[in-house]
Amino acid sequence: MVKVRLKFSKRGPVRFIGHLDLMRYFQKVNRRAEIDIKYSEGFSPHQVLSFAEPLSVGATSDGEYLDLQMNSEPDVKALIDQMNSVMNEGVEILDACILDENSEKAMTLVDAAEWIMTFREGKEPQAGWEDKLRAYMDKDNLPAIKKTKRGEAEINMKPLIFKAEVVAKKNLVGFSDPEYRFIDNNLDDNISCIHLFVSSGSADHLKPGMVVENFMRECGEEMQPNAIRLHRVDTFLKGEDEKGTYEVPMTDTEGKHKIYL
Amino acid sequence: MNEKLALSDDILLSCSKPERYIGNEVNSVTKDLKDVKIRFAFCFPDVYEIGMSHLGIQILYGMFNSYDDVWCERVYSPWTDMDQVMRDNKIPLFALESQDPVHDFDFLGFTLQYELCYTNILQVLDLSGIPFTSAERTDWSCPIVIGGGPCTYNPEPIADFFDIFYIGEGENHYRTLFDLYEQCKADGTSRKDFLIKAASIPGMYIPSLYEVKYKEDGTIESMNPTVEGIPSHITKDIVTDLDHAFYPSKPVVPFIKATQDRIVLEVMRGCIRGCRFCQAGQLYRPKREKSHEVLEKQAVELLKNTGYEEISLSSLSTSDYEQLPQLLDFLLKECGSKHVNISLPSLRIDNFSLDVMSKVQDIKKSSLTFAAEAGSQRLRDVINKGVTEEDILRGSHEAFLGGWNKVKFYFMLGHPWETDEDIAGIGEICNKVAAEYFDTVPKEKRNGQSVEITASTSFFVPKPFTPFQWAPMCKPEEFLEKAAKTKAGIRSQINQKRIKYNWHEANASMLEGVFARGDRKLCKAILRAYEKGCIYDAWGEYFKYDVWMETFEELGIDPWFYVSRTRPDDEIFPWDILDCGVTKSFLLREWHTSQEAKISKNCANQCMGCGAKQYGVGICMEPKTDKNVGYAV
Ligand code: SF4
Repeated sequence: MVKVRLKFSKRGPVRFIGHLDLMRYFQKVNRRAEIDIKYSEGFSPHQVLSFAEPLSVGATSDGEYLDLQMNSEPDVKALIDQMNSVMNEGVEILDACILDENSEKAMTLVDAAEWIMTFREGKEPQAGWEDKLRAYMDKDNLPAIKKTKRGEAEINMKPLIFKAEVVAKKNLVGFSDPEYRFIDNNLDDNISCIHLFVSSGSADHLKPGMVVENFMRECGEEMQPNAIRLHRVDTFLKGEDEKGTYEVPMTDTEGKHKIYL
Repeated sequence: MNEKLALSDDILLSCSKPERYIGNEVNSVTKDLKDVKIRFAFCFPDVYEIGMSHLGIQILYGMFNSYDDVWCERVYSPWTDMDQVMRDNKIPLFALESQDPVHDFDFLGFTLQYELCYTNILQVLDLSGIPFTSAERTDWSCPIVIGGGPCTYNPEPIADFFDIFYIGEGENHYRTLFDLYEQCKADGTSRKDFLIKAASIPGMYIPSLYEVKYKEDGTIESMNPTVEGIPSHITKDIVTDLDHAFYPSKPVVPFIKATQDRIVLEVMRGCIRGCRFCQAGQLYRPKREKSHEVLEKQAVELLKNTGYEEISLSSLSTSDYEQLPQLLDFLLKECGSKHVNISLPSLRIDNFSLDVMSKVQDIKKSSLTFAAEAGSQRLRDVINKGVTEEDILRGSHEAFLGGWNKVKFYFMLGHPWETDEDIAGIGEICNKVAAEYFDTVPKEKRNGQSVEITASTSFFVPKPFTPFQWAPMCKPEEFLEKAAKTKAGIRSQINQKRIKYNWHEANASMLEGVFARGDRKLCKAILRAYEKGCIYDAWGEYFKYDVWMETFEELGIDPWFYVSRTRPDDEIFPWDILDCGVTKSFLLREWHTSQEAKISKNCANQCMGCGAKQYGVGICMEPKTDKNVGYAV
């Protein structure tokens, strides 16, 4: 059995496909592409797939991850082409890597995520909010109420925000990948983007929307439902080398886009 | 990718299942508008998950889109939450692929699969901004509204809302209609004249061109064309060679789980059995098969192009498909290696099917199904359901030996001439099957399990073009009384603890009965009920019986006129203007034979002279034999 991790994008109308339906979608893709996928044992065998971190309905992404199990080791490039040839437009395999046999699931490895948020038309805070938000995020203590399974807890968001900026779309450059540009044909080039690199995964998960929500509350403004358009740039796992700890995209085995924090 | 969405993110995120409205599914078709002369919006007037499960739309969608000059898109009824949002925000209904308003299309086609979707037709017209009636649609400013499917075999209750009904199998004459449309648009012909010309294409029924005259008692005096030169009757047309008919090798695969979440492989059309209550068994005559070689090729293509993990064989009676063993051999091999499940609805329970089922299902979870339809042999003979108690007991015995212990029975209540003894027969046959289990499987082999029998009853609704089109239908209170008697009958059995009983709701059946054999006078009732908020009538939680009854009363319509009468032999029916291939004299003969509780032979053993031989194909052309073809599924 060979474990493979895929990196894919989710863009355009398919952003409204829910998590479970995306799973079913990939099961069909694998069948159409005739991938040598491994099936579980038992009377109704199924494909063993798992996502790194579910993306909320309506959000787009250039950095989603899916782990799958195959019977034989594929040629990575051929696998990507094979899958993309039967893929629906809007979902595209961007990268893939073969994993070590005992490697943990993507889900348990997620440690950080890079996000871009924009306000939907008519739902922006009052003009001039960009500077106010910059000042807000510069503070040392950013208290927020986090809902957990056991109730509510007060947390400080600040240590969970690794990098942050508010910048016009045309000037946005990826934090981990300096070549990364934010492309979305539906958005104006000058729209203000809230660009965050935050802690993610199960332990110290920070929903990017929480930053905006608390900011607006402090400004005395009510955030309207669905005010934020959310885009994930990438998802990262943690690593360590002689230079210190870093975050790296989950299929970037060569460490091309490591980011030291 | 079509990035355009007709609905804002805000709306999509605030309604249930936004995936219903975004299009872009695998195998959906997008075309460049400048290459397209005809835009066809194909609607199944129910929610997306139901509509996407329908094979007929997939066939015609694929066929229309195979024409360079036609772009066919899909439309479904917005669910009630979205319906409200669209009305509040005045958002016109759109087709999924282009997200463009339906109003701007050339054709709006409806597939009419059941009567209780009629108010949803009006919902779709309303949300599209298309006038409800054909009479109001006088110029080319809105699409030609056309209907097809089983309900068009009595389209009179919805005749006012349609410009054209297509009578017959859709594969045959749409191209001719499209050519005529293009020509009429090019040379400036009026909408009315286009419809008059269309009336001469086989199978096209233009209701506005026929006048209905009524007798004083409310029955029909006559139905005649109001324009010279158009046919006095409209004859169903069928596909004569299914192997070469269009078949969609790339059906649209939804993102969300549709009701039918699998490949549907149509193995044949029509049925040889002639059960007297069954409309499909008459409408799709004669039985025509596809060759197993063609089906195998199609199955492989479909698996490859969809990625589905299940394939289902579709027909009215799969056990009657003569090349079933060859086909299943192939599918078991092909699907086994690909981890694809095979589902086999409507199989007769015999050694062959049990063997196959043991290979494709988990015996512990699956159940045997007997559509006995009536509890006593006498009543099964009345309805010509050729299954005997012996068949059922023998099948159960074999199945119990094979390890099954769950049995499902389907019955109908309210057949003509049903007596209390017939109803008592339901409990009796269930009890005998339970006893058969105890006799067949010794205690030590039961592994702590026991037999589980589920009996379900639905209420019989007489349908046009069946021998029971003359029959009265029970009133809801009579139905409920019959259900109570069935229950009491089951409860009086020794093995009653092993038998579960379910029955359907009676009021919806009553409305279905009104529409099934209704006439044009009902159009205004459907419109009025819609205006009063009736929609999604097929969904129990939205069905408003009281509003319907109030509407009938308000308009002076007696609904019982349509359901409760025994119609005289010589009554002219609203659907008599259509010819479905089976003659009225044959149906009348069957009606009389049923009264004597006499059965008629199936088409493999003897031709009963139904009239379908006129098509010169299928079972009608095969030599008749004494071969035992088992019981009707
Ligand atoms: S004409 Fe005879 S063989 Fe053909 S469908 Fe009718 S009864 Fe069957």
